[in-house]
Amino acid sequence: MSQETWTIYALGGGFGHLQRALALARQATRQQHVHLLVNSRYWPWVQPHLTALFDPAARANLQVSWRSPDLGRAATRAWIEHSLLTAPGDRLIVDTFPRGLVGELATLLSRLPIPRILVHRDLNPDYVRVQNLRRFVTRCYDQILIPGEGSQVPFADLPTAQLLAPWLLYAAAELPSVAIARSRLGFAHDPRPLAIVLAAGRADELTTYGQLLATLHDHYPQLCWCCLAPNLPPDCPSALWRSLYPALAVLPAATLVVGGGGYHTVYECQALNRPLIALPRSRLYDRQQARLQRQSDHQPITIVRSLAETLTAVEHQLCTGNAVRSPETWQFTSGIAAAVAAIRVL
Amino acid sequence: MRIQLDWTDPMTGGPRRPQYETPVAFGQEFSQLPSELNGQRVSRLILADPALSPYHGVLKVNTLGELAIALRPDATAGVNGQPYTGETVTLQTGDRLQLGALELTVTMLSAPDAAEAEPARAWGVTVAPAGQSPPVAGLASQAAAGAAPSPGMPCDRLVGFLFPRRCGRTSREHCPHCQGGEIDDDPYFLASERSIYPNYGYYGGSSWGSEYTEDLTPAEAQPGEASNYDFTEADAAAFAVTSTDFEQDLDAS
Repeated sequence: MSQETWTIYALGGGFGHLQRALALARQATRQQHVHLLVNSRYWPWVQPHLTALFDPAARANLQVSWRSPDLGRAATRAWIEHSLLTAPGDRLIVDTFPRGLVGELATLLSRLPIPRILVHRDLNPDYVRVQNLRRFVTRCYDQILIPGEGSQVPFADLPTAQLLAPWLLYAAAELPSVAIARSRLGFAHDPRPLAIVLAAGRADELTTYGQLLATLHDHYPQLCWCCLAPNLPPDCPSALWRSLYPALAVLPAATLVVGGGGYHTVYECQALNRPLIALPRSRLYDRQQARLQRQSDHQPITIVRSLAETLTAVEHQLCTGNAVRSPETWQFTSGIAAAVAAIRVL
Repeated sequence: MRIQLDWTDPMTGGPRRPQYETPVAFGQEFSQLPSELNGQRVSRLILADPALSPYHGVLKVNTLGELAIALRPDATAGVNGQPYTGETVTLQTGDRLQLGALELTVTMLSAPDAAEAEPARAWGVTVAPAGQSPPVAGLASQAAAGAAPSPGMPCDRLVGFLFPRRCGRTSREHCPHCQGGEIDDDPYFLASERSIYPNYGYYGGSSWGSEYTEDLTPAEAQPGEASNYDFTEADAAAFAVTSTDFEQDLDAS
């Protein structure tokens, strides 16, 4: 086994940065050590689930360093500088933010004489422009991997860019059957089609999802509703709340998904060909609306902006029958294996 | 106006009781139903009955504040068992609409009840009143109250006059537009609040919407004054790049 260590910088809020890093680590730790640097608020909740995600040998190759996002900019900058200067590893893989979440990588990268790879999720073009990021990325990164976001993202035309399939935690063959997924959610004996509300995103958005689930549950009793969230959202009936991770492990049970426009919500629904009713959320760097509009050409997505529009969209899905179909088979390719191969040969 | 429609789903045999904000366009084809009428967002109701047209008609509030049904040309329906075509018919709570093989019972949710029961308000949906142009100050208060954002949900209120856009704030704090749902009668605000004039700038088939001009032209106005449409702070904000916000937030995504 190679003794290489890959360092993955995946700071950033929500699930996306953490989850892409875990997906890459899950494959990479089969052959080398991986050190994750993360600050997602969800990490303490995700951590106990690692034993189910990684087999024991791979888990032994994984080291995770976490700091709370409440740590402050100066302390976070100091932590990252210390981590990377004392133990940079053999490859540095940076998720989404070329200069680091608080700009701490801008002067640090040139002091790290190792191959540097940027994982390019979509990025606010205003940020790209005001920080002159195209020049920075061209100068500081040896490789740009674009998992799932296609050719419309800001650095897709740079010569070192490589388009890949979305990075998902599981391969198609690893997913459970519809029956097993329903059983995991506790709805094995309910004959109704199952609709899942994915309450990802920021913690303060949980209220919206709680109200949403309660209303949908009242309006459409012909569907069985449940909400996946780390914590019980306010107003959400507790009997309909499930605190399971990762969502992909139970998503085959869904005939309809309601959620935001974040990376994994969109691409996991695409992988399983599940209809998604999506409320695009405003983010400083991510462009959920753009992702949803782009992907609506390739998968069944209805973009809504209010509860009233959500009700109309569910109504439409019921009338067309889309909300009650649940394909038992799916075929998709995660971009993880190709990414690991590309990084390894760098 | 928020209404509830009750009917029995012929596919499942189960009851359906969705609530909608008027106007409500209905028919067989989602893609044929308008998303906007006279600048108002339209609720769309799909009824899978082969006797209905792709776009069969619309339930809306008329200029007297009454709920009415208007059918598209050649479409037919019944109200309380009486067939009718063409003319607009007003409806009351409990009236039964016959649309193809379906019978829908209409319930108008009164304003206080609707405010309590209607999640859309809590979500900050801006509901532009249909039809006439009521007194400006009263309408401003109504529009603002309906637009207050709930925690975590982007405010759906339109801000800006010449370049209206969704507010997008997730908190009322420091919001210059609806200030937690309370609006005074400041003439500048009233003249720059686009949501007060939902029909302004929309072509109505024979003329352009002009409530702005009619409502705000002072009696003593000189010729040309009525055309003084403002470029507001909210319009300017639509073009601003907030570069100083980048690389500050450790919880950003």
